[in-house]
Amino acid sequence: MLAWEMCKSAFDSLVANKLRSLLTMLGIIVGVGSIIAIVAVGQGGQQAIIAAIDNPALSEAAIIVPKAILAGNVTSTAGIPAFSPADTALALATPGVQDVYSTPSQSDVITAGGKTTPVTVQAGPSFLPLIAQFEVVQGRMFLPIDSAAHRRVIVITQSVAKSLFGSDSAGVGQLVGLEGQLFEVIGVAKSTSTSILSALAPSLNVYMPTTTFMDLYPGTQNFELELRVVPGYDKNQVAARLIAVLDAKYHGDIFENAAGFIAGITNTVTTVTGIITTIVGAIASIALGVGGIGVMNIMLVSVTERTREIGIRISLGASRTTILWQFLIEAIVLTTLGGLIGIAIGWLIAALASTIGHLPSLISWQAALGSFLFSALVGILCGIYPASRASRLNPIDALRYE
Amino acid sequence: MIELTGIAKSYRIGTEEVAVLQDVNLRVAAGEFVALLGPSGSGKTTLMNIIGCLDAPTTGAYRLDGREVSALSPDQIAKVRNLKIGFVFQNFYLLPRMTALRNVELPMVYASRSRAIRRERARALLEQVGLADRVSHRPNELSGGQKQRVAIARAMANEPPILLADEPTGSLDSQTSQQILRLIQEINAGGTTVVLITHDEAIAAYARRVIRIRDGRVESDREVVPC
Repeated sequence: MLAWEMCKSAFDSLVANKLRSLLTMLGIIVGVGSIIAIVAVGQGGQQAIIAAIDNPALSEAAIIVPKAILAGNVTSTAGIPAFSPADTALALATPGVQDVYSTPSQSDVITAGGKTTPVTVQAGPSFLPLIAQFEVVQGRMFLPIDSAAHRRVIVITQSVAKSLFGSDSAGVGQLVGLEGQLFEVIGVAKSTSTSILSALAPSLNVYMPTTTFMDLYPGTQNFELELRVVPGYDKNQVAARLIAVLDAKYHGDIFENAAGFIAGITNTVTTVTGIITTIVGAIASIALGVGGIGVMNIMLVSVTERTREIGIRISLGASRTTILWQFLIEAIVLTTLGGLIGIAIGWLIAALASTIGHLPSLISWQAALGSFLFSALVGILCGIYPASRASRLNPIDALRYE
Repeated sequence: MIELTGIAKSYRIGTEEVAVLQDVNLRVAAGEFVALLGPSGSGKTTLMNIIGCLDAPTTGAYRLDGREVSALSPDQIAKVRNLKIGFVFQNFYLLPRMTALRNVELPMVYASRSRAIRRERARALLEQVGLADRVSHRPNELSGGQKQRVAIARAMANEPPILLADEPTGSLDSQTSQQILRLIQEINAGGTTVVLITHDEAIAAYARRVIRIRDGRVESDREVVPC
């Protein structure tokens, strides 16, 4: 009950000095607000980057690639074995393998009715929409029969349709030119990716069957073997078995399952963004520390100002512990109130950053709870010294204080 | 009730020891109305601070209700101030941001009385001192006499057996002073021991026993024949 009375009295004295209380809280508000906003944007960004890296194709398939390609610093593909049709046959013969396909791509220029647009020509199987994250909104996707018949049919993305035919739903049934050959547009695709990167840079893609692609770009070397496994089989185990076979064939430890590689990258990204968030958060917590010093300063002023009040309270029977708690609670109320306002403002900043700045943000309750507790801790640390000074006042001197 | 034996108090000012009280022996029985009369600097306020457990004597024994005060812990002394002693000061010492009611409630807050009891008792006390219509006024909205009435109501909040009044009329005009002293007389008539500190013979005359203090010593101690 005494505790409740002290909280009330703390509120009263903070309300009595509104402007001062607000200015004192400002340090805490800025500190907590920036921590909340930074952590939210940091975690949101981390998730967005991982979503962009984490190829959904991997949940569908295992991808076998020469290690040298994955390593990235490839200046020439000489010496790196490309997959031959024989390898494809080998893969298909591996137990558990349902489909084997590859998704080579090539940059090119497409023309229609005198207009030209640079595009990425992406080849793939009929279930490519699943892997490349798009859906056909006009016309149709190419079918296995189109692939088997090497048909010259393509599906274009909405942005290609827009630049060639002026509308993102036009183009089905039109003929377009690629490498001097004519292709029929059979569908228009819309991206289904939720990654912010795809929203920022809509892709100018042309999709076609892999067989057609090989006809169009005959020299293309295929460094990627993608597998879909029979339901019930573990794709990584199937891939490992095939890698062993391929390594034996090409005499060396050459191939790797890209899934593991990408999991590694994802881990690295998590670590790196985590470190960045921690560092920036630590810098922001300096603001919180400075705010805490402000609280201590104002509490010391408050104790001096209210010396007489303290004397009166002691004469009325307040114990030293009661006086100590009164000022400590006042400091804690000041910082936790500042903390709560800071959390609200940080939340608002994060929300604004994601709507206006297209920065993804993720506000975690852990961060909010953590900042709340931290601001309470700052209150205790910065309030204890002024409060103990107040409690150690000599009542007679305190009463006489002018 | 109040038993002071061989009380001395000295302060160190720089390198010099200044004796404020020397060998004060004093006994006040329950229900008495005592005036401590003396000029300023005589040590009477220091004596009151010692009686009120706000200060400790340098030497000597102070027994309150038969218990040696110097043997009590700080928390026990706080409790004594809270429950056994009511203070009335010259400058009222009300908390400026609180209403009259909240001021009167405060000693009861420290005594952990429930809110309902506090409210009720504070109202009754303010009514007793004639301020029923000033309950929710703040000190700056009250006259000097009214402030002192609130202070008296507050001093009596926990029904202490002792009321210590340090120049309670020092900031009041003579008519208001009279009213306040009557009020203190009434409280004494109700059984509360009153110790009144003053420099004014006329005010000391309200008491039934006058103890003159001079240069830190008890000069005289006599009963006053009621007039």
